[in-house]
Amino acid sequence: MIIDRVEIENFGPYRGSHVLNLGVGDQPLVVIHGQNMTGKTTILNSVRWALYGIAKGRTGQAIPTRELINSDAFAEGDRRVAVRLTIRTSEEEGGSTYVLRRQRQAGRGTANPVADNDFEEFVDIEQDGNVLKPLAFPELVSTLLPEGISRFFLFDGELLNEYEELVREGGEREAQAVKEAIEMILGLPAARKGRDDASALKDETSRKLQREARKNRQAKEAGDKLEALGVRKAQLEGDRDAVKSATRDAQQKLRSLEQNLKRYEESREDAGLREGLRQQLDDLEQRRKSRLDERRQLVKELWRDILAPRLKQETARLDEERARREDALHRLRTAEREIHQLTASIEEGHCSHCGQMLPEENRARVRAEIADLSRTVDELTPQADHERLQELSGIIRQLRAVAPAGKEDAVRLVEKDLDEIHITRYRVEQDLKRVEERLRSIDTEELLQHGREADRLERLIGEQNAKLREIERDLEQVKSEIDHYQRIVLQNDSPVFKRLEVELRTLEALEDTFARAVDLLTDELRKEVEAHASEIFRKLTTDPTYAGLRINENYGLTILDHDGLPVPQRSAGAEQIVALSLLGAINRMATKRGPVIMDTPFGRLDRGHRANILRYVPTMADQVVLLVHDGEVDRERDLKEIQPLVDAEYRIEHPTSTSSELVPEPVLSRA
Amino acid sequence: MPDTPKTDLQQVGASGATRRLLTEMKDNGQIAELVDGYRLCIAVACTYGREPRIERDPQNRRTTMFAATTLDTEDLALRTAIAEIYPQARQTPYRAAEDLAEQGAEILQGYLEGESVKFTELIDRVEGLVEASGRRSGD
Repeated sequence: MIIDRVEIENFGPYRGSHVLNLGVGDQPLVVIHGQNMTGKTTILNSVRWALYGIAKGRTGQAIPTRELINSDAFAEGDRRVAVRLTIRTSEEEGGSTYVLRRQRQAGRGTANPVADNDFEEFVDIEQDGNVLKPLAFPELVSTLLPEGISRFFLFDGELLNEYEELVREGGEREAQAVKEAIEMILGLPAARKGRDDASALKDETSRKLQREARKNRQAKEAGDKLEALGVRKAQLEGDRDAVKSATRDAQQKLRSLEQNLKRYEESREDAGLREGLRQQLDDLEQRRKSRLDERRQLVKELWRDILAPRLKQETARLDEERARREDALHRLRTAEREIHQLTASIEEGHCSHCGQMLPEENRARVRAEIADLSRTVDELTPQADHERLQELSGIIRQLRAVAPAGKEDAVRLVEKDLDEIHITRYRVEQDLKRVEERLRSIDTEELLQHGREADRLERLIGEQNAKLREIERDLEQVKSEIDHYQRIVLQNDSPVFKRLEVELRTLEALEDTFARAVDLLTDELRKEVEAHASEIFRKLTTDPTYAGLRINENYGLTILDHDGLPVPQRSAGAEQIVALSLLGAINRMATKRGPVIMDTPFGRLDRGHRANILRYVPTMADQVVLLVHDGEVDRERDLKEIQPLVDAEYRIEHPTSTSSELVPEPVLSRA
Repeated sequence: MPDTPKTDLQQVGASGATRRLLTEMKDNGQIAELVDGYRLCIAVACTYGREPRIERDPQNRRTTMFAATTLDTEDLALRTAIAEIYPQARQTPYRAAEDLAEQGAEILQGYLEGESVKFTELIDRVEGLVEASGRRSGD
């Protein structure tokens, strides 16, 4: 089957009517581009909702109708949501065109619809233009694409997670639902039905035997026993089915709760992380305050260091002046002393140095020398200002007292540390913001309730399993007693009993044959799944050391190397590849063909794996719709190679936080 | 031309802009007291080779901030330094200090990173000035 057209109205972020034409040409691939939170999953959900009346949230739980309706439309009184699918089946499937429409709207007189039962639901169907009765809707959907196997056609990141649980060790309980769905799509229930039918026919013959026995005088006592045992057996089987059904329901609820609790585990880790980050921020703030205080104290004296170069310059200048003046003073003193001695020599008539007589002709020369020295004294006197010299010494002493405080290096160290604190704080704040964002979406009280409910369900399942074991034991006992009394009855030579004995043995053999056939078919299918999955895996993986996959009884897959040995560690990306290989294999072997809609399938994959998967997905089905964001698939680069296989492309525009639009993109090769 | 003042200030003041800068620095935890920043401004202006304008600009109203004795150290180091660096201000060193503080505040504005002054950059710059001055005197 092919989905030709999806028409959505007030669904999630899509306000009003929006049309998505999916079956435009002959090529299998439709690509819808959209950023996160813009409405990609909503497209997948709209198809799921139209078919089965359920849209799934992130944790796999059903989204309430109130939350499905576009919030702007709801606020303006348009409290209705609808999806219309146009579906075309192949010639082998009947060659018809169906239109299926589901609508929910606030019930009449409901002023403030909140719960799902505040809304009324309407469904319409048309087959080749003829309107069918709404009651035929579930049957038609079950023929087109039964809900039990829809997970193999409509899948998102969550589903891949479920598969990853399946392929992981110890994930048996999570895997049970997936395993049942796999066996359903592979056709195992048909073989099981044969076994059950043979068993029912055998029971019927057994009852006939018991009725005949009661009519026979010799066998009456054994016949009465058989009747009582038959009643007991039916009762025990009824109890067993009820317990199984209750256990299945409890397991289903538990699985859903555990999904939430798993998130809660992550949230608990996040809560711890948040505390750690907050503590780190407090410590950083303390360190910052202490460093700021330290810097404030350093800055008190920093002016001295800033001023120091200028003071050094000035001190050097004053030192120079003082040296100059001291030199002038020294020279002045020398000149004065010499004037004094020369004057004495003239007055006393002999040389003051050697004591010899000073001839008259030399006196004039000495007087001239005194005159020269007097001029020098006159010149030096202003420079040799003793008071200024004293003043200079005082000033220099004072300027030197304004000594550098030597705080520069300490200031540098403190500021370097403050910069580091600033950078670390920014990083921690960003981490905290991300963690808080994750925690914001968690309702702690609700999750605590889920925890309590999960504990209760665990206990209930344990009790039910114990009860089931008891019933099975009683049932075996009853069956053994029935066999015993049947043997007693069949010792009778009556032809009726002989005929019934033949019938009984034949049906026993048939039941046994079907039971063995189920086992054989399961083994065969498993081997076939393994072979297909391995082949697909080899196409998808970029690691040449991986040789294939090995399947276990839960359809879990282990990667094997070239020596056939299991690869113990594998990355999240490798798990995604294994999960996609399993999905591909199951799709290939499925008894039903249908469109594949994949939401965000490339999340954790590198470019090499993305390219391999993009080459592979168009071969998965006659129609493949990929919902991708730019981080996963680069339109220009990644889609180039598979462009001939692309039938249509759309881009989700998100003009406001509550509204999205579907805009057709020209396909690259045709643009 | 206004007459050159003969007497020195007993109280030093600051313009609105300088007062705002110092208050911001104090509020941001960069200085403990306004006077620490005021002294820093004076030192910055001196090292940047600014000349004090002894006359107050009548257009630029300054309001009193501290007593001169609060501004200076016990041994009057600031007064001495200014009087010696600027001989023309020997009689009125606090008057010179007040103007130098204004000029230093303008320089410090350039070191604002966000709301804070980056002291390391100021120290590096001062060292650069010293080296440049050394090179000039060696030429």
